[in-house]
Amino acid sequence: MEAKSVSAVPAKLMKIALIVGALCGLYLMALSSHAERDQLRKASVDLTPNCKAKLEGYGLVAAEHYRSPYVQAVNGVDSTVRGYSEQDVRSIQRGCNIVDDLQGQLAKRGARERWNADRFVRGTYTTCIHCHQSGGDKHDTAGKPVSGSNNLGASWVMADMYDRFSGLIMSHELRQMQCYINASNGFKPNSADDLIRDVTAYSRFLSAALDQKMGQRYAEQGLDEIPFSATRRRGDDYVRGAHVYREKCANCHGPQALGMVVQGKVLYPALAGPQSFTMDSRMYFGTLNSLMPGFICRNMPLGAEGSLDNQDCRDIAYYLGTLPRPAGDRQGPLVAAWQQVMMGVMPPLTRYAESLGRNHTEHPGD
Amino acid sequence: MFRSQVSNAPGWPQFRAAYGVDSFGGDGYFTRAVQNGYNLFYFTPDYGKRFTRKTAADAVHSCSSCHTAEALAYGLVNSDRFDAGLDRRVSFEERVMRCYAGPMDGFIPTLYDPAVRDIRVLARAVAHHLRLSEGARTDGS
Repeated sequence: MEAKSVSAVPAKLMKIALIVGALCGLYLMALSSHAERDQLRKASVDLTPNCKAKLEGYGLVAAEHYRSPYVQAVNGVDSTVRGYSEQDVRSIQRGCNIVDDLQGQLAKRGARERWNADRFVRGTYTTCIHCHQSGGDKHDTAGKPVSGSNNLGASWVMADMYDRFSGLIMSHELRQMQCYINASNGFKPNSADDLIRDVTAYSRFLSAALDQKMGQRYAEQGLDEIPFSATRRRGDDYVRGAHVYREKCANCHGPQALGMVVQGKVLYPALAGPQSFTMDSRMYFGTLNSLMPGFICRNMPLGAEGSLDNQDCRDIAYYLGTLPRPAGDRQGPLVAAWQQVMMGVMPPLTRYAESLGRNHTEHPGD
Repeated sequence: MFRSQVSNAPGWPQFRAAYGVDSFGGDGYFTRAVQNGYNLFYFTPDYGKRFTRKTAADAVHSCSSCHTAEALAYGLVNSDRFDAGLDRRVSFEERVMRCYAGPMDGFIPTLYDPAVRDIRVLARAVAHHLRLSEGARTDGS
């Protein structure tokens, strides 16, 4: 009896030592992770080509004052605001890189240079510029911000407003978190994560560069919705949408809207399938049937923006809404399972059906 | 916690009119958040009692004891900047949280708490009224 209790004591001590060791290990891991983050914050930033052009164009340098060359050129006034420190400049640069290349495909050290943002998205296609084109700051040929182009600066100055879909007063940070969940079919980062804060810093800089005033509604903020009432009222038709899609969109986004990747770089995003936005996303026609048409009409096709009429845009969006894509949180497990099956089954079936159509030779009696 | 009604603290109708809160869109939710921010800002012991040990009897008892609404707005448009004292970038929300812990001698609310969020919304409404842009300086340039 006594021998048994003596052997139980070292076993207990061993268990305690193991737990303490594991906790110490976790603590050391956290310290190392913090040190790595700190190092990254202090390291100079390799800008993507797009960011280099944009930030140089806007004259971003560390200085006591900031004068926007854009405002001077467009408005002819000298708008001087508080300048940025070296640390602020690096944060803005990292934010631009995240928007332009979320998963670090253009970075030397890959996703590590983007705060490992790939942890928060599913798939390898997602990046912010698919919806926030030109780094969230799209301009027309006359150099003016494009209306309904999801401008990030305009979004910052109009943040904190009530969002009728989520029922929340949405800060800029919460909006970014929604992008990760819905548009990227992923997971939300912490609101205070560098990943979120750097993009906020970049958005705030854009608003300074464009001299956007707080709480002012700008045409380039968000997307222009195209409701049914803005069409010729023929009724939305996904068959007609499929036809227009094949004619105007399939060259870039692929015949089944699965996107286009060349040499590991995503040239055009997926609009359906596992790499696409979820059914909870506002871009999904079934969730909000006026937003995707607005995006298409204002921003597509690239180089010929504005060439599609409202009905075409609604039809294309309707057609895209019929294609399989990941379910969101609201749809539940059955719909999620069904979508998973459809995403696996539909592409080969569709390819097969289309090959039958191509092989079909017309006979005089047909 | 969401409240559909916010108490009318003294001076709110005048503040609402003076800063054109209603001109910031017809958004009732936003206006209520601004009103709650106003209550917190001017009457912290009454409306933020979970996060302060101060009472109305103390000389410094509310945010307004140290700041003006305008200073708050300028603070918002100049936030998210590097702070040499702390050797890191500091957000507006963090500054509010520090105020609760420091001058208010209280406790730190979470980032998502209306006690933080509504102060930011109040600052945004005032910044809108003053037509401030990012990085605007108090000398008006």
